[in-house]
Amino acid sequence: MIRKSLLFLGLLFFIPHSAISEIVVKNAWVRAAPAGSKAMAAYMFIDNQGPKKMSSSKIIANGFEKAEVHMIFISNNIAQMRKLENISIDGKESIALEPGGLHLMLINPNKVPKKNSKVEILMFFENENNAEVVRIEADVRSQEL
Amino acid sequence: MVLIIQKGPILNEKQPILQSGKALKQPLEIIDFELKDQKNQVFTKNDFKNQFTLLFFGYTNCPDVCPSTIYKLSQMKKKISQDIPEATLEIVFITLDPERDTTDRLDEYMNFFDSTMIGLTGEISEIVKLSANLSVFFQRINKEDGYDFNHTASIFVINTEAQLGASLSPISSLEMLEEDIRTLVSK
Repeated sequence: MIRKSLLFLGLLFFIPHSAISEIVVKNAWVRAAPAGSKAMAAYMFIDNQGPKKMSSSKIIANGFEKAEVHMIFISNNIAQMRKLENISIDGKESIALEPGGLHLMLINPNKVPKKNSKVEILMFFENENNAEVVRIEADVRSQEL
Repeated sequence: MVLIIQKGPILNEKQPILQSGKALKQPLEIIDFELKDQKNQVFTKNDFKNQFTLLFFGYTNCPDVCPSTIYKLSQMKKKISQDIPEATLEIVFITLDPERDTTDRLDEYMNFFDSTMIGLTGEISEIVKLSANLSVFFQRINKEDGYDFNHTASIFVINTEAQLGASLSPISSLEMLEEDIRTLVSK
């Protein structure tokens, strides 16, 4: 776990503070969960301001063993959760990660983060011409309807 | 893997008309069962009597659908209890994962989201029996690092006689669910 934290710090060091970021993330939050929870869901609004499609290639959540892209499908009132390979956003388009739909699944926390704290998430996006790392500070909070 | 598929109860969309689901023409009798709540107290069919109950099935490691439903139901209960104080409304969560969801775990979970809610766990045979009675489907999905469930996420409305009166869709808005539940408890 120490190695993983060092990797996270190292990645933060190399994140370019570019003025031409194509991916912009807003309103990121992690649903607060009780101690002992094995997974937490993260939600956000992702805007691809660039002209071409960008796809996520890796996601790291600090303090969690791994982070995956998951989608909830509800058909005939049966909820099914499926792991997706990545998040792809067409150029000049945006996507919302919301309860009951697309979300990040943050798996196996070292310690379940408390309400009103923050979770750092790194999302790596790329296409054939460009690569970008987005650093997100997601608020840990309850759901608001 | 547990797989339950059973023909559902007869539904009638006409009386009363609900926006978020369907009311049964003939309420369905709940079968006898025995589970334990988060305080380790026995909970049976009789505990459904003399109040309206909003019942749903899930598991505490469910990161999205179950806590969203809990949040909706909790908000709705507060509003309806304020507006119709004579309508006693309970929210009951039954785990499909008794292996991990012990009474202690349920106690922690309920206290975190809404301490007035009742969480039930127990023998898997009892959970299977009750879920079959209500036509609840669930399927364990094993993964590298644990397991999840695909499951029916409907909200069941149990009447004061411990009978299933209606089944509501989990993806309905809070406003639609609230209006329908007001209709059902005011009948």
